[in-house]
Amino acid sequence: MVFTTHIFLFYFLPVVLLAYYALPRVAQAVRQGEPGVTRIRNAFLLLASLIFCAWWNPWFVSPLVLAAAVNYACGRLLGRPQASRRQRFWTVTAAVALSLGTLGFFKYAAFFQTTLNDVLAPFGAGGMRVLQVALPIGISFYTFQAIAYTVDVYRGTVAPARSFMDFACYVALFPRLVAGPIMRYGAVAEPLVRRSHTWEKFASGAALFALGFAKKVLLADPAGRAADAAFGAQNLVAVDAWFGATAYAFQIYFDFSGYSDMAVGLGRLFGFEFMKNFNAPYRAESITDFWRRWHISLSTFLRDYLYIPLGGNRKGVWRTYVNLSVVMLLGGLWHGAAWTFVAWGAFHGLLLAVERPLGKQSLYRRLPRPIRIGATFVLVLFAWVLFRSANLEEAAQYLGAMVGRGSPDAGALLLSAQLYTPSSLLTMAVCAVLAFAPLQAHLWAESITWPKAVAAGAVFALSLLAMFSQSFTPFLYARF
Amino acid sequence: MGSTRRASVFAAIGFAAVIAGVPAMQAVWEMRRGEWPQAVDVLRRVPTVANMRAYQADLEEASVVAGQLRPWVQYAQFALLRDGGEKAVVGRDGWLFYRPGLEYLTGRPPPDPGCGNADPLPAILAFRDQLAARGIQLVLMPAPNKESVYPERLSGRAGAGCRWPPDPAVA
Repeated sequence: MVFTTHIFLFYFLPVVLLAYYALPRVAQAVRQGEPGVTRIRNAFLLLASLIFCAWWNPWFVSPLVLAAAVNYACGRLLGRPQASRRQRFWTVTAAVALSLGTLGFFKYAAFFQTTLNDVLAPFGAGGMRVLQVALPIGISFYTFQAIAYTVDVYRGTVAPARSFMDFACYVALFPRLVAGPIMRYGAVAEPLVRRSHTWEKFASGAALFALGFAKKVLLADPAGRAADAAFGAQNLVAVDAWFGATAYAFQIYFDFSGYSDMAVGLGRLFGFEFMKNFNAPYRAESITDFWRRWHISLSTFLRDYLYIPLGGNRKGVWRTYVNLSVVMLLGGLWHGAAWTFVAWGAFHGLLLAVERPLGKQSLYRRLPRPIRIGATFVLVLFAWVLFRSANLEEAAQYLGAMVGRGSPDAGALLLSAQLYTPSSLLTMAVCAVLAFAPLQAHLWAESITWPKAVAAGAVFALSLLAMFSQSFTPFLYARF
Repeated sequence: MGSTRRASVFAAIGFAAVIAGVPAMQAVWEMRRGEWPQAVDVLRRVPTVANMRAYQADLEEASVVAGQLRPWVQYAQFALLRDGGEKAVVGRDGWLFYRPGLEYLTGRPPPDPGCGNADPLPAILAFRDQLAARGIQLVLMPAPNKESVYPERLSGRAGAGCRWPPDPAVA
């Protein structure tokens, strides 16, 4: 079930909201206090989240419940006062290995087998049948979330969850199940026990949800049509290649940040406060700055649970570069089992390594700010080409077209009819203004005034009209 | 009650009214026609992936609100933005072109030639033989895509004298 579908918006969400806010009356009827009400609500949210997950495929519930059960049990073991240091170490190791093993099986088994077949093919071997496994929805996100919990309990930075139901609710919570944000348990431990529900919070959540919905339906999807045309083209002239790459940069930003806004907004409807995932990333002045602003929940996760445990910058200059490269390569591979994602991660890792000795500033740090932002955006565009292309060969061809080394044919002449339509140009113009504007949706929706309520309502109505008239397009990050 | 609070109450109720109003209108409309609300079908179907997809598609297809608004929205998109929708591309002087035909000319060939783009000759020959068995002669006349015949009506880049099918197979 996707947020921008009829069934979610008009059936699942109203029913869940109605039942959620009706539950206190039920709890009062059975004389439960405030903690009891919250517990009942958590149980209901867990049930709703499992239905939400099962709607994709009922089978997808199993790895989700397994991840919750294993990490909850390990958390309890780690929290025992009599647990020895050795027992604690092996418990956390087993939990992380099991979580990563499950993720690796579902996400990388086919990639590994295909690569092995390719490597062995010259030696007359490599005819291994590739195991095709469906990727359970959200597994990349809830696995990281579960790992973060167990490691935090091991480090002693959070107390182990007492209630399995509350913990499972944290792992499975449907607003952020599909594509994050990756939440730390410490940030939701208190709201899982006690959280407030106010008109202001609900309205702020509804407005943020509406803005995220608009980003997806009004901006990301139309920009994606231009990007699809460019990246699907047999041959391109340079200007079309740049237009297509820019369209994809806007598509992925508004798609993912739109999803994140909707997730944070939905969280507020149920009394939670999730972390923001984006902070105007295309206003970054360097690649280091870009990674402080893009997919913040993933970059902070990689920093805290991979980069720092590897030694961070505490083990010398070269080790710092190795650690950076490892983190970015694995960060790339996390997005998907393909060499294009590895190349994307490696490219970003290289750029970060270049900026490191310059005080985490860019090579062009002395130029005026608009030029710094523009230059960073161009570097990010090149990286998005790697990310978007089906394989490295197509990526090389596309990058070649961007620098004028394409071989345009008659078909390329017709591509302009798909790219430069009035609706496409209008979309790109609005995207450009919003992507480089300092005001972000999560700041705008923090408090709701009359003009904001009217504006959010108008944007929501316009987005619904657009949704009615176009076919469904899934969120890009849902497949990661 | 402060202004911010009143605006929040208004926004919250408005949001809830929209998301609950659409299915409520749908249910009323269906019941007035003497039918059970389609939404309750979910309770009657075995929860398999195929059934859930079908249920979801049925809900969207039967939506009265979406069905009433869709033509107006599409007309507005066409009139204001020259947007021909998912199947049409609006060319110069109002000419319309079939989008999949255009994508065939501009796009990459599919990675697997057997995937939806197989050699049509065996099927044509089999069809010819079946017709011949009934005493009917098959006359085959391949027609190029409209984009190939009138490229200048689609894109300013293609000159008026430009005539081609970029793919010789289309000729």
